[in-house]
Amino acid sequence: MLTEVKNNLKIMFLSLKYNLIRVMENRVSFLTSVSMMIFNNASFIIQWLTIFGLVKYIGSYTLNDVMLFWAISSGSYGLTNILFNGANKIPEYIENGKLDAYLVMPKNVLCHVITSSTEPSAWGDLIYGYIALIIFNFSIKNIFLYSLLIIIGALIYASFIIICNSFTFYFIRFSETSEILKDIFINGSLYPDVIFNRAIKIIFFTLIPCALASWIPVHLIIEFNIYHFIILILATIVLIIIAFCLFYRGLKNYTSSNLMEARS
Amino acid sequence: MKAIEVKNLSKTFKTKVKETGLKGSLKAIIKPKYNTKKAVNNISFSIEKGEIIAFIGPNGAGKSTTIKMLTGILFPTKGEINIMGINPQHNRKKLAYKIGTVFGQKEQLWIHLTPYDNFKFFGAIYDVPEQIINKRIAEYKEIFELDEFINTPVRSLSLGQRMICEIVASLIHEPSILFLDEPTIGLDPVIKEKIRVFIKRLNKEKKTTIFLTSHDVGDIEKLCKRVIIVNNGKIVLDDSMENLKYHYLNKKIVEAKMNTKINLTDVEGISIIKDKDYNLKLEVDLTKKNISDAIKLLNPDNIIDINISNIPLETIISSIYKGTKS
Amino acid sequence: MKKYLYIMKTTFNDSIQYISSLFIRFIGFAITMSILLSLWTFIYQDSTTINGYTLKEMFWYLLLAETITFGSNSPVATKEVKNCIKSGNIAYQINKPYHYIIYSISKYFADTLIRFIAFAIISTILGLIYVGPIDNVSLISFVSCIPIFLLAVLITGMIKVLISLTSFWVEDSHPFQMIYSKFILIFGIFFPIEMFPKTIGNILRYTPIYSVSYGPAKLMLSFNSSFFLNIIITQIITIIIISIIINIVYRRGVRKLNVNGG
Repeated sequence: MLTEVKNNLKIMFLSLKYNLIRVMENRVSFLTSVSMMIFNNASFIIQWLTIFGLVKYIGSYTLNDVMLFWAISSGSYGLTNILFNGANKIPEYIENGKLDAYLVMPKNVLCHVITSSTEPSAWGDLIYGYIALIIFNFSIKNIFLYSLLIIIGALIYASFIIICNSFTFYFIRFSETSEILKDIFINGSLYPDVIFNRAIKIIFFTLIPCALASWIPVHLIIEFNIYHFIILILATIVLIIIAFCLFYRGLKNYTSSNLMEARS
Repeated sequence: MKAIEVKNLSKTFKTKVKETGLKGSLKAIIKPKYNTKKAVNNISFSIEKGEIIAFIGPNGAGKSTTIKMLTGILFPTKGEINIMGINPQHNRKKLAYKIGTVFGQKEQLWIHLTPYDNFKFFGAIYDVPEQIINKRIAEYKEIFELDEFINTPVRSLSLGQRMICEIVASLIHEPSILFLDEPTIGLDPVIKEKIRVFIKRLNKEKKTTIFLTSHDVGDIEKLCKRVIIVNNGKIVLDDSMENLKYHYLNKKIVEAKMNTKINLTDVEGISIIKDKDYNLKLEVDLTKKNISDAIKLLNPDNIIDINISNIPLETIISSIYKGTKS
Repeated sequence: MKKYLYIMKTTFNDSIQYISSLFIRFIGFAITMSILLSLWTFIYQDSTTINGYTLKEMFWYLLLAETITFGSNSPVATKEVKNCIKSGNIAYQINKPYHYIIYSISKYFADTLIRFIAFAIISTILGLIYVGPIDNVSLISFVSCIPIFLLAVLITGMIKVLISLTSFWVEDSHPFQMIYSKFILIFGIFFPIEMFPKTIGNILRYTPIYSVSYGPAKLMLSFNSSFFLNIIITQIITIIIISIIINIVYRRGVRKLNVNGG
């Protein structure tokens, strides 16, 4: 059991390494997409500067607090797309029958699939996360806590993507809905919790769990609470289990179409 | 001992039917219609350890679907599969260590890595110890003369070189069964021959069971002792290559170029396939007539050139396909 | 003129095929807008007007400006032009019996028109559901706004084509497209010009934002005929200026292509 986990981790690590080598091969395009992403995220500072020019507080949040939402979301989003970008490709793999290659290998299909790809621009998100944290909320303790929390955030977000994309085993067109759900997840995690009404809050804690990936981590950085932290970890484990179950359930419906047939 | 045992295997696919035009598209959104298609329909067969078997059939006959169920990619709708004592659907990972797969139309290699790195990666996937991987890479390097391209990224390799690398990668864990789905598709004759020789050697030296699908008659003729032909999801023939040939070999083709034009009509046992100017083509049924009868019929003095041949395997196979068309 | 109409018609038909995808995107749009509505409702909880806008006006401004942006989001002006230049296919387009730029812009306009109409309908529905109808909007002002909005969509496309033309010189024009769309989003959609500090607001009046988002959206909110004239004249001047720039850039690009042997 332990060696199996070790071997699976080894393959995930190797996949990641090889993908990074590929991404770095074209240095110019890598650096362009990374800096574009940083610019993209940074431009939203203007949105919040303007809002805080109109009102003093959002609930009890200051600009620094709101930027924590940005730091956490962009950090865990970036980490997801660096480590687990393959989760986003599940619909493509299903449609083109590309899961075959993973299915004939003696490793965990899901682990192998989600680490099979990496998104270069995601480094921009991750770097921006740290920049935002350092500019608006710097402390050594925060950096440690932040690094831990974005890993948890990435696991939650990746599980969410896997859950959404598992439905594409049944109808491939669901991938469009997945994209929208991912957008809502991101949007929900970027805005401070106080602006939402109860109904939306309930949705964001359950069906689209961006509250777990962003709101709770933000509160943990502002004021650490061990019970919330433990609940967060338990919720993450539950989400991961759901993701695995749904994916493997869907896999039974996999039709392994040939590339040629996919076009008709 | 049996390597592969299949009992009453079936697989049904559901496909969406879309009507043409805008109206059809709208309809498909609101109320999609489904067609069920039996890709594989209740087939049973078994393969002994160390056999080389050709699993062939026309496009869409259910070959790939079967191979995918055998390798654990697809879940069967019905039936049982047993591969070296393992059920592919219940024990996919355990099975993966025992089988190797090469899909001619689907690449498994990382195209931006070199073959060498790929082999190392595959070795890691199958938990092969480092020294053994190195030993096997060295071995295959020699057999396939990989030296010139083992350190070139796969994306810059030719199709043939890529296919060789796919095969090597699939063998890095020394599987006892190798599934080859159209391994020679699109390759030139030299590489085809190289691959065939190697597969034969693999079977002989390591007793690897080979399960091959191909549209290339050369692959089948040169490699396989046994042929299973499927059509419309059903097995239409499961026989040795010898029997297959023998069954059709009681016929010969006589092609002759004549000095003067002669008028022939069919006689019992000899039928005229082609009669154009001075060229004639006859099919002789050896159970009824001899070759000499045919030559006599043509009048030996009048023949400029003559060619007597067997019916090519390709014709045999396609006539079997046609004969089973629904 | 007829051939351009035909190009428009064919592309229009293609676009209809994507209705189901559009429907899903509408839902996404509706949810994004509801998040922004939550934000503004929260900001407005202590005051009825901020810098001259009520919550209702603020939300309608967002919807109207978003409609133009979403409605001009056709890949024809961006990816297609870029790929045509990058692949060298543009060399063959030059010999065709139509002007490539006009061809692209007509194709863009037709492709995007269905998006625009669809988003306009959905925005209207969302606005009516979320905050109720705009005050003081009459049939005449509504109809007068239509050409202004269409011109805004056209100008957006022309700017995108212009940015795509940089592909003659740079590796990838996509980053520039992104900078442009972020600029519009932050300064043109999220807030009306009045929400910014005065100096920034004054500068923004001289950018395309005035023609492509602030102007049309503001006009719909508070229609008067002199403002209408002001905007339509600004838009026409913008179109003329951009056309001149496109023409110069395109010619230089093609010349560069010829020098390099295409």
